[in-house]
Amino acid sequence: MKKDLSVIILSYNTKDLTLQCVSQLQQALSKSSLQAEIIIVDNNSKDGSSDVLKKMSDNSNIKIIHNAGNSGYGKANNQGLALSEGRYVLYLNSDVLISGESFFDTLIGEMDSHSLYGALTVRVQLSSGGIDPASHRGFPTVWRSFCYYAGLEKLTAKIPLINRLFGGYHLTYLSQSTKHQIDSPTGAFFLVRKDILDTLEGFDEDFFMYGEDIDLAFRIKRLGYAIIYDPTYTVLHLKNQSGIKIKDDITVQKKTRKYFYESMAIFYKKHYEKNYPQLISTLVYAVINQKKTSL
Amino acid sequence: MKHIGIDARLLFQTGVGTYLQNLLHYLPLYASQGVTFTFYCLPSDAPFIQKEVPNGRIRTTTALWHSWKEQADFLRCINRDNLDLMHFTYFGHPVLYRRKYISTIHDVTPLLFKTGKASTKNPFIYWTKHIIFSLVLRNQVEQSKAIITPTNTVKEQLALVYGSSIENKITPIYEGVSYRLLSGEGGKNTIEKPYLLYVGNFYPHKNVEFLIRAFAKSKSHYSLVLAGPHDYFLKRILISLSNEEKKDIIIKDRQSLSELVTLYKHADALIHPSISEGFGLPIVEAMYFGLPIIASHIPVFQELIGASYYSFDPFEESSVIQAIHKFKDEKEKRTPILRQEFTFTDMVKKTMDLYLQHV
Repeated sequence: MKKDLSVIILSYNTKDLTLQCVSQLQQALSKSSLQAEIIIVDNNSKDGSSDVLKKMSDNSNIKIIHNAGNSGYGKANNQGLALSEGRYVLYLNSDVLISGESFFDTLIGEMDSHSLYGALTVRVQLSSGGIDPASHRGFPTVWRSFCYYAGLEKLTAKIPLINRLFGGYHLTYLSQSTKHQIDSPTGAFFLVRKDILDTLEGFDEDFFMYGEDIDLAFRIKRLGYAIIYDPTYTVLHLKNQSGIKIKDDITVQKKTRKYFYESMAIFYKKHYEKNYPQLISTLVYAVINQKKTSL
Repeated sequence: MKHIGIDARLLFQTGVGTYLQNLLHYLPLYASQGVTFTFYCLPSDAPFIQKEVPNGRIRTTTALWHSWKEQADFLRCINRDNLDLMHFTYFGHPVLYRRKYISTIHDVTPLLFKTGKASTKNPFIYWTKHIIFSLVLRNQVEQSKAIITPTNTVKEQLALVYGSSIENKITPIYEGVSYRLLSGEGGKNTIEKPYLLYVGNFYPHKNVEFLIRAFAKSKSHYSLVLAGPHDYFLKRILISLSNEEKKDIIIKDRQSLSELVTLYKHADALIHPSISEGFGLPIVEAMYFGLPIIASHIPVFQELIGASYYSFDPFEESSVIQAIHKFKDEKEKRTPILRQEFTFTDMVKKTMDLYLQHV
């Protein structure tokens, strides 16, 4: 293996963002002493991304894959994984900006000196200033999901001890300013050991979008590795700007919602169904189905 | 004269027993002047210790590990000796012991999984015991002057559970191939087909039932030889399997050391599907006998073997099947090299250094 780090970015109708993301990333990487590469997988964007990407491919450390269709998030990232040569893989969303000091040296150093760390994420901040809740998650057990959707998590987020009971979905009882273990980061910034990804064969392609990051985290943790949230470093996540003008397009919105709840059902079936009585499972699927169609 | 005590009550338990036997066996090699040893053991084990360490004092006790008697009788027993340093070689110690001690913590598996004998208890008893166990272990981790772990992985696991402030007092010291196995001759191979070898017990976290099912589906031309105790756990596994799944399984229980050497010498590879380990004696033994290894991708095995083995996800049958076939089809088999640090002489030397540092 020749490289230290492979950054894999999925591009889908985010021309300007992708450009900004990659140029900031390039800058950060150039300040580090790491041997790094960037792999961009384009899922047949319709906004002229491919011209921009073509220009980028002149860079010796950028590889581009053009797909003829949109085969989903997991599949595209797995194509990137197959090409990657780094000891570590960073899954990065095209709407994530890395600015300021380059932290890649210390981040990789931290992974190198802790063989128990299977994966790591940093403080993924939204434009509003708060952290992306998806970057600091617990595994969505039935109880945790119930507390979250019933609003109990939000209600108890600031109450010590009680939040331990009700705040498992986003681990609200753990301070966001200290380094600790979490269950799952977001796929927006997800640094993983390559050897683990090789054994696990990357993302599960049954998920089209949403949920594949939690599924991967689940499979990393059950091998006995830790997943670390380290807020020493921050990146900016300009969430909800990918997709074609999402806010105006009701069919896209519907589709997105459908994928979200389908992922939830796949995850439950794959990891939890065997642990719960049939009655609970029936109820879980009914609720998911209701949510999926209620838009 | 400094006086060091060693808890040798688990001398003939699997795993930790091997550790203790080797510690005692090589101790006279490295024992420095000005130090005397007292060994605490079960009455039946005293002759063994007498033979291994003729100069050591022996105190016998009937207080078993993880018992109430350990907290009272065993406490009185070691208090009487006014030790300069005590070495608890397992988790479990008298919590009220106030003199200086160090501990070996082999494994955090019991903290993470319901496994071993514990898995057979009803949930109420299990959880009560588990809570007491966690409290005792926390006390031991906090009060120990130094902690020995068999791998860096266990060190990191302890740091994650108890905070990075304890990291400085933890020294990982690798184990090795037992002197008893090193001197084993081995005999004639009686197994006809080429075989993959599993060595170990059949506790749930060893994941052997899963292995057998995946192995049956792999339709490789191998047999699968299981060398371990034919106890409740193995019986439970065998009952749950169909005849088809058991077709190519060969069980070798209560094998002598020489039989174990024979098994290692003639196996095509070691296969180990465990989902959690503190070390891996069979892994190191397989390296010693020059066997390729097919094993789960868990942090401890990654630390011990690096990339030179056929790794799989121990939760996915397809992953195991793939690894077996990859091993079978590869002309030049990946074979790990036994690292120099994996010897018990080295382990005892480093342990002795630690004693002298803290006595």
